Amino acid sequence: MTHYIEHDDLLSALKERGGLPVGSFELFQLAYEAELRSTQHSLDDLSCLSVLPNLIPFPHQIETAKRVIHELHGRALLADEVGLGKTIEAGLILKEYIVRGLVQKALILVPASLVLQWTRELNEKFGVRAFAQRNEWSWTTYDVLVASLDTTKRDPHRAAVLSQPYDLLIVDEAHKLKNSRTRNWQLINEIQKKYLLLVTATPVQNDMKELYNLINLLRPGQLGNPKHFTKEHVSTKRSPKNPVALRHALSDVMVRNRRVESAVDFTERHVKIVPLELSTEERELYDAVTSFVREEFMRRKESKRSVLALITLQREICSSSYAALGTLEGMLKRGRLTPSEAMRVQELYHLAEAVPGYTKISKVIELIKSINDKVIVFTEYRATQDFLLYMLQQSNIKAVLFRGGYKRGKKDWMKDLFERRAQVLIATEAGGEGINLQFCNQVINYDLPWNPMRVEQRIGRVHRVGQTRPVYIQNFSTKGTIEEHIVRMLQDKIQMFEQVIGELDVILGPRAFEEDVLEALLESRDESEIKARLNVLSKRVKRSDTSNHQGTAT
Amino acid sequence: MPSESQALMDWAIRFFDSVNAVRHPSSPNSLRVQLPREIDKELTDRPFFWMWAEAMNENPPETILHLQFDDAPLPEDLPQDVQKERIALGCYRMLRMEASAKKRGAFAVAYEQGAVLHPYVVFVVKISFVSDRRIDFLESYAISLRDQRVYPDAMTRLARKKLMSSRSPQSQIMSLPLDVDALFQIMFQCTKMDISRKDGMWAVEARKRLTDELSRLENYYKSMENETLETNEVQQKSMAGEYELRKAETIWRFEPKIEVRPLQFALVYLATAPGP
Repeated sequence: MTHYIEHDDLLSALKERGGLPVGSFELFQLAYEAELRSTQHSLDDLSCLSVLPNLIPFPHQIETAKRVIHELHGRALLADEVGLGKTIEAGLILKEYIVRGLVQKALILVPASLVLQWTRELNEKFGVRAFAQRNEWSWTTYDVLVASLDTTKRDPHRAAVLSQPYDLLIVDEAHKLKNSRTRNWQLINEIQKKYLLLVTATPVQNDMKELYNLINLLRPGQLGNPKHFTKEHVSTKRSPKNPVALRHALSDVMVRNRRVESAVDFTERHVKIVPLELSTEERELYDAVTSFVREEFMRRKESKRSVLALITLQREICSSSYAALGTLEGMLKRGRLTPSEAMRVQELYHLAEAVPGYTKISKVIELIKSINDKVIVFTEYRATQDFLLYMLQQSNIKAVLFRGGYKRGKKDWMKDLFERRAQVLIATEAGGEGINLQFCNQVINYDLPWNPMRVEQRIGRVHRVGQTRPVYIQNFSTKGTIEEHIVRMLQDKIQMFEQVIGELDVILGPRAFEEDVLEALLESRDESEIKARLNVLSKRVKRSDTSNHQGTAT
Repeated sequence: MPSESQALMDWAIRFFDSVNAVRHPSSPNSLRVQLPREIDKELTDRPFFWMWAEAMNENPPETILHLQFDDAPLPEDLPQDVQKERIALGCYRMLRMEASAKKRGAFAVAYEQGAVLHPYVVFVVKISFVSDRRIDFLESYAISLRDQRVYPDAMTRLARKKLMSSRSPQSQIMSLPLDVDALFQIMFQCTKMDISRKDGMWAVEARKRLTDELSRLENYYKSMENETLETNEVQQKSMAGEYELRKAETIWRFEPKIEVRPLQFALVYLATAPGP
């Protein structure tokens, strides 16, 4: 039995006028014509396309919006690869629902740094009257509201959001909902919503369970209960039992477009390795740290002690001796070292302090000067970032920092400064999330993340829809160090930089990948063993990518 | 200029003329209009400005808009007080103009020319089939007050007639009582008949989707109940609450609904019955 509703607003309004329909017939006719224009004559079209004068979406974006509305019924994980315009897809879906009168009240939860960007885009590109949340009153005042997830999860905002139903809820950077025990996840679970869009390029970061948690927000039971999911789909924490079956189960709730398959005409990528030879002092420090880490790694693994500090140290030493200083100091201060360990760490600290010059820094300055255009320098470490800023300033190069911890206003400000005033943006990964920097086409990877997905996230900041120039990527590689292996693996084996890896992150979490890399590096007895083990890892990446292709095809 | 833009501009000209906005000379494919205060309030959302102006007894000059309907660059040399903007379907200004027309055009009285005029009421009604998707049908009916005969597709029929906002002195009106409740009942009967003639497959599919989704939810939460049997009561209660919430959301999203919304009502006096 279909619910039948007769509205009586017109009758009430007529009665208020004493039953007399006074008015101009020309306006009556004009109103009818306007109504006719906004009438939805078909179930299947995307009506909003005719009312978006400021936007020409790409075909894959239109297809995604259609699929989410018509096949996934308005609850979906939008997981396109970086740079394909997931925001546009979400905006199209929102606009279509508004045009069709199916959404009036919508909430868009995003990282604080993206609130203004989302609000601006919805207004300018989609003609949606969206407002940025500013205070407690915003929740009830505006129909379409953009707010920071971190603000929303705190009272009194949380209570305000939970007290009203939303026709549509959009969560950007939805990988922040990966853990069902967090307040983020619980907030989204508790909000009353009709349609739900979760937007992220990396639905899995560490563990297959994260994917389960995201899907359960959209459609509880789609992947069964946790036990069933583990039994049917999980081989190890980081790999699925049967990628094709998992992919099939996900197809009811997830859309993922790949760059290689989209019709978007991306500009070319030019990738170059910049080989560097360490100075004698740097080499001495590197060798000392590496042998310390290797010995300690084995010892601690046997005694089941944490190896986290060691991993960090080994990675930092590839970045800069300056970055390693902080970790060495921390190890000493925490006082958990045996006397002999403490002595060795102390020695390493002095070695690091005594390094007189910095090969990488000199090279980066030389490159920036020769580029004579905007450059983004990526590093993993805040200490390196600070040091780089200082050294660039010494060479009269204007640079600004960009970090994940910055507040919304500061991020916008830094982006503006970079666009208008500075030549260089020194960014850490977290800082780069969700920010679009298409006006720049030069990237220097001062150090490299040890996993392909995070590398792609970096490049995706500039190599995305809207980039009009070829993108130049320069990867620093210090000879005879772990970095050399990493660069070779990412570039030659996985061909990370020139052809984008597709579904890798669904299959393989970045953190898990990093751990595997580190194990390969530290447990190997010599160079050839390192090479062989990294080769196996690269093959695994390629295999999972291929199996996903097959999954797509079936 | 494309025909769609031309149609939009023609509509805008008629709208501004109907609301007595003064039209200034302008370049081809554009309109320059001076807005009466009440229209200005409807076309630009600035309630606080008007509140302030009225409280302070201010008399701000009337807004002049330069609306361009083609892709040519907006003119640079406009007087300072003229606001310029490009108009396309779905842009903010167009939406406001349409909303204003819908508000002002909800009711009307009109007359045909002729010796004896008979009264008809005209309804414009939107019928919507809603589940997680939506399709609309805009219907119009003319009902004769003399014999209650119903003429569907009334707006198309009336478009062929010349209707005026005032009665010619030569015309004689056959006055009949207007029982609006009864007329609305007749109109709702008409919509029901129209609905029964439309394909109802959408509702069958929506109902099936709803049933499937609810049964998936039931299975999931039952299996979770078994999992949490050993856990504490609080956890079970929260799971039950979550189940209720998900059920309500699912019904909200998928349940097939038919909405009938009368939008416009006019009284028209016609010399002859609405044509074919």
